[in-house]
Amino acid sequence: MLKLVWLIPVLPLLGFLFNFLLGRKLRLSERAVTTVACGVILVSMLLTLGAFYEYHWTFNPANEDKPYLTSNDGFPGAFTWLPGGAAHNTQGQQTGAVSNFNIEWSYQIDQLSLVMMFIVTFVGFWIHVFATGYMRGDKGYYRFFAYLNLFMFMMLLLVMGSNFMIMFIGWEGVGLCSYLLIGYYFNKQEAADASKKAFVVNRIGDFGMVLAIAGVFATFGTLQFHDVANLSAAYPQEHLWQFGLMSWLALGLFIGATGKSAQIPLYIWLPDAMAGPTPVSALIHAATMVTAGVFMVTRTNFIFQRSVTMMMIVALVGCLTAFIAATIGITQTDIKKVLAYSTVSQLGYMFMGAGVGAFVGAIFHVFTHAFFKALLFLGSGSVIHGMHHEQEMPRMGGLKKYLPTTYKTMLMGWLAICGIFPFAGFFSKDEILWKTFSTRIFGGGWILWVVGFITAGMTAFYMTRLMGLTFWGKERFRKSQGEGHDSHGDHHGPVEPHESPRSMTVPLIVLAVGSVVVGWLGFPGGAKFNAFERWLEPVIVDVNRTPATRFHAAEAAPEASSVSVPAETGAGESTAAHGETAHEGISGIELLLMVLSVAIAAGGMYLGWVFYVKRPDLPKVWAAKLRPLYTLSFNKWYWDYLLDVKGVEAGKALDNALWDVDSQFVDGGVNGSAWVTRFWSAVTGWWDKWVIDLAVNATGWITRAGSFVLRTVQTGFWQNYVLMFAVGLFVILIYYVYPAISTTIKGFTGK
Amino acid sequence: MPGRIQIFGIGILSWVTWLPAVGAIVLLFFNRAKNNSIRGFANMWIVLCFLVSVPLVTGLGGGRPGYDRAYGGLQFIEDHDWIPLIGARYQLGVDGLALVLVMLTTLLGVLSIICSWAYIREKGREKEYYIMMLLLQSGMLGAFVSADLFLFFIFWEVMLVPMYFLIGIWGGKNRLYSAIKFFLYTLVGSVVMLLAVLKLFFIFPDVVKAQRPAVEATARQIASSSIADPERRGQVNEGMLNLALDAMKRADGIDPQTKQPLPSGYAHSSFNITAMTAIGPHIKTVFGLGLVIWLFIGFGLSFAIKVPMFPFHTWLPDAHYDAPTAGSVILAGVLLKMGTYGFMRFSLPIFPDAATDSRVRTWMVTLAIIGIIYGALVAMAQKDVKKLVAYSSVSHLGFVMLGLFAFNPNGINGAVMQMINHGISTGALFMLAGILYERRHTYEISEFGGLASVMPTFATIFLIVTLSSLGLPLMNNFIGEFLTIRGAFEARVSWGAFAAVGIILGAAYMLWLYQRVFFGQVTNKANEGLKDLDAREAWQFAPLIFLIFWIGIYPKPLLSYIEPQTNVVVAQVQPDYFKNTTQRPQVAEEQQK
Repeated sequence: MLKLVWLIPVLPLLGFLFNFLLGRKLRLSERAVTTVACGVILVSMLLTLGAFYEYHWTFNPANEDKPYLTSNDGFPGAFTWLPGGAAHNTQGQQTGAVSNFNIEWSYQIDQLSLVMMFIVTFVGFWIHVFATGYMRGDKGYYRFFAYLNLFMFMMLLLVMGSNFMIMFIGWEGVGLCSYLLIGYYFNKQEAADASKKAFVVNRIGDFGMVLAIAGVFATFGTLQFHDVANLSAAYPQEHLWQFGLMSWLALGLFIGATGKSAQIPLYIWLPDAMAGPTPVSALIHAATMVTAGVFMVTRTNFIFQRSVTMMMIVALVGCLTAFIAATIGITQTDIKKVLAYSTVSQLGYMFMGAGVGAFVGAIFHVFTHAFFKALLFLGSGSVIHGMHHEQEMPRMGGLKKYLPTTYKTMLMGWLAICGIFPFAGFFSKDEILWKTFSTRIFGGGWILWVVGFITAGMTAFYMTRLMGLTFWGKERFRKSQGEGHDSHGDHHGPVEPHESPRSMTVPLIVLAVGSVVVGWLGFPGGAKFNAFERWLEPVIVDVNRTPATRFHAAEAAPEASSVSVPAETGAGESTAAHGETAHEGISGIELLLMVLSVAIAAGGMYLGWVFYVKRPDLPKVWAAKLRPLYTLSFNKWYWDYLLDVKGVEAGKALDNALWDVDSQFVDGGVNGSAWVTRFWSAVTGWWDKWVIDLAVNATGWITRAGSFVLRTVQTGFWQNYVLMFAVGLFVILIYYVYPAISTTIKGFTGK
Repeated sequence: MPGRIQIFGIGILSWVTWLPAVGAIVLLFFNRAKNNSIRGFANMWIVLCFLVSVPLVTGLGGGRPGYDRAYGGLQFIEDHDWIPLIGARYQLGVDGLALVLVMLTTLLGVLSIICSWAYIREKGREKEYYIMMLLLQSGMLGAFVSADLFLFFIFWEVMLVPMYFLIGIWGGKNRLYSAIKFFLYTLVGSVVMLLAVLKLFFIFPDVVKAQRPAVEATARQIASSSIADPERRGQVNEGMLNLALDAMKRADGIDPQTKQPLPSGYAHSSFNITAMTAIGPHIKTVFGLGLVIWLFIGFGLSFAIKVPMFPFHTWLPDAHYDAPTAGSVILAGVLLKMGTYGFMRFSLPIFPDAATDSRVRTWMVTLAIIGIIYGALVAMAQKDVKKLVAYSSVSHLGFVMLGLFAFNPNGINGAVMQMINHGISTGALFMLAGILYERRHTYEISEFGGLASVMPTFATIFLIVTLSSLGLPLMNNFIGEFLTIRGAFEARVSWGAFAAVGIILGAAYMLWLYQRVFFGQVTNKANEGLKDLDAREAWQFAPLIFLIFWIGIYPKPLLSYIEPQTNVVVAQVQPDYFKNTTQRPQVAEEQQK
């Protein structure tokens, strides 16, 4: 199976090509499109499970050169993609070394990528199934599934790539698919705007990413994660407030992560992205793509961990994002927008976890979040479907009667995201909170914990609000018909909510079960209970142990996971050396914090229930009382306005100003020089005409005048010539003779 | 084994160069009224011209191999007497760089003629139009294949003329202004270049005499540094070296063929480009740095106008705006590459001392970076499709210049990739804009909107090209942009950072354009009944789209053509770059496997 992993991304690609190229031409039936699109994902999922099995039970990295496919394995598994020739390392300790800029198209199969591949294919498959029902009858059915498959291909590349470049290809590719799918209803202005915004904002993140990749190459001379991890072990730890090379690399990567994973300041695209069809929101904007940033930070933890400053920045940004997004989520009325802000908030948790060194916790939260957030989105999709494309929660209410399955499954998701024991969200969120509280990477973890703790309460509150407005309370959809038409525009008949078809409810049930059980994998209490942590331990570099390499850790991994005896000691040791949490079993404080967070979740839920079910008049009252806070939250802290409206205006003003400069000034120079030339040509033309030419003409005129005289003389008659001769003779005679005569006369007169 | 193909005793490069011109002459004898046969002939002939260029890559069988990448350097060399009195010879030859550009030219030639099928039927004067197109083709190909500076200069000038007429006769409403602007602007550069060429010609014998051994060593090094195959390391490209050595013999006043002194009146100098490159590093020791910089400026100004670099770019949007579609395709696809090709072929290797001079380099890089960012920002302010694409060219060509002046293999490889990719993507964009124009007779963006529902195939193709243009991975432009950024980063981190800003802006203006044209509802009544692409219109994009993906997904073959010439340039401008390299040209190693 491990030799076949290259098929895992290729199959969705084939599915994409099939549906995209033939879908319209052959007018494929929905059934054909579906069979291909879901079939390839199913096979990919099975292959992933096979790879998982083999990696865990029979694969021994110690016997292999590298834990991934390389170009030595040959096409189509892997090959040299971009041979770029010699390049000098210009940064870091390797400065001066020359290496070939050689990028392999190769896959890295290890604990981390297997987890991600599992999430992507498993959740992805069920979302595909859901979409077959949700998109039924849509004009662009084939196009939708083609894009979904393309997304799967790109996402799998992202998580399977064994070097920064392949990851980046996937990174950009999922961005493209996100663009295509957000803009799926391209006739809607809102969707078109949102898709462009998503892409451009992500591009801002990519700016950092590209530079970081160039920097990694200039530092290490390679882009393979494996080699970079080994080489980076030689670099000293950069302490707090120290901002050296590793910090810069980490910063670049993190800028990329803030774009893709919707963190402050680049989170603004994600809520808008809800303009896409709901399965897309579930797959791309909740379960998989937006967690790519967390994955990337974990994948490159060997760089992040070298810089305490950047770790702190990651944690701070995550914490702040979690908090701010939660505050915004409280006041939104569009069901998908609430979920979107909740996603941003949960992603913030993940980054907070990564920042305090709990990479495993972060990935664990990615894992559980993928299930319950996909579930919530699909549930909301089912609601929207049942409500005939109504998304405004104030026009719902009391739906549990009409959509029983959706309701029951959503309930699981709701409990999971609120962090109620024993649902999935509890374990992952709690691990992050505990690790944040007890972090030793930098001081003051408890402050972050307090913020995270409050956010947990808010999460419970707004999620309960969502449930309350949607499923409980009074039925508001009938009476609000008239209003609905005013603002909504497109006409739909009298709303009679209905349960969704089986193709949509089955995925809901599967994911609901997942939302309950997947958390048990990461039972708190150290390596003994926490299978998830045990599994991922080898991926996380231990910076305090030299020469800590991912590879060495990988050697120890299978023993740790498959053989029971050394597992405890091996993993325990490394946990201890981590310097975060040296513990066996649950310590008293951890237990206390757990109880506290369940308590605040319960509190938030109760408050939500009071506000939106028991006494629906309360929200208005409190909104009025807390007017400034309410407006701030409702207007999303004005960040969107600042960036998207004012920022874009400023940008356009700059463009237009430059265009003026270009057309007036730069081009003016060219036209000016043409004008000067023409002016001078006019001047010289004038000079030519009135001075030079005049002189020439004057010469001609004089000549002509002279010739006129001469012509009149030269008559050709001999009599005239004789006459002239005689006259001439006479003149000459006078001339010569006259002096003589005059002298003679003088002589005679005696004067 | 260097490539060497003759057809009926005439070298293949002569065929490739002159065949379009022959077609133009044949067209002269067509009856002006028989438009259909004229059009048919021209379309057929240009395809024939393309087919004739294919053996350059594939070989022709029977001991007539195509271009040997592992061997590198100039191949298919032809060398004949031409004007002995001034030392100009008819010397042709292509290296990997020129070869790739020749192929691009012949391909875009075909596409540009095919895509003007409907347009020119409407505009009229078909006979003259096709004659001009074919002459243009000959001019451009000649410039790429010339191994003699004088011959190059002739072609360089010749290709201006048909372009002038193409814009001036078949162009848009402001065509005369644009045509004259284009012609004069380029001509200004050419004149300066001519002076520099002549100066180079006159100092050639002096440098050779003063620095004989050093010059010969450099020539040998050039002829061997292009050999990419490690097994043949130390060998030289004989044909290339002989051209240079012959030129030096002529500088001594000896005819290399007969070994006799040259007849009196014959110039004791040469225009051979390899020989010029060989004296390049030694001009400074004989005549001082000042002259080198002046010569660099002489060549550089001409090329900078052609590229066009900021602030010499304003002729471009006008020329594009008013040119017919085919003219724009050729202009963006090939003519602009003349400038960057010139830098890569002449300015950098012949005047390394000037290029590496910190003042010159800082200026060039600064202008390149300004071009990248400024071009992108101004593109965003444009109100019509063609000008937007034209300004995006300024931005993309800025990348090329930045990569060239990074002076390292990644940067230069990236620059050349970018040249080709820009030709493909922008060529396709202009063809797409042309289709819009044929439908609606306007390029105004605000006239469109919601076209994706009316013209789905068109929208799909446009999207692919847009994505390629904004540098999405697995498409062609990404390779060029990334290598360029990587190279610039290696040269100086801040250069890489500035260049990377370009990729954000690139996404912004292209996607905004796409959104305004294709997304939303069809608001303009005139757009409601637009018909989607017909078979000819759709299939003419097939080769370009194939190339977009092929280069993006598997760039290795293309890089292996480019790399040898890159190494020559790097070795010339940074002689000790490869000093501590143990495994330099690995392209060839890959080939061996």
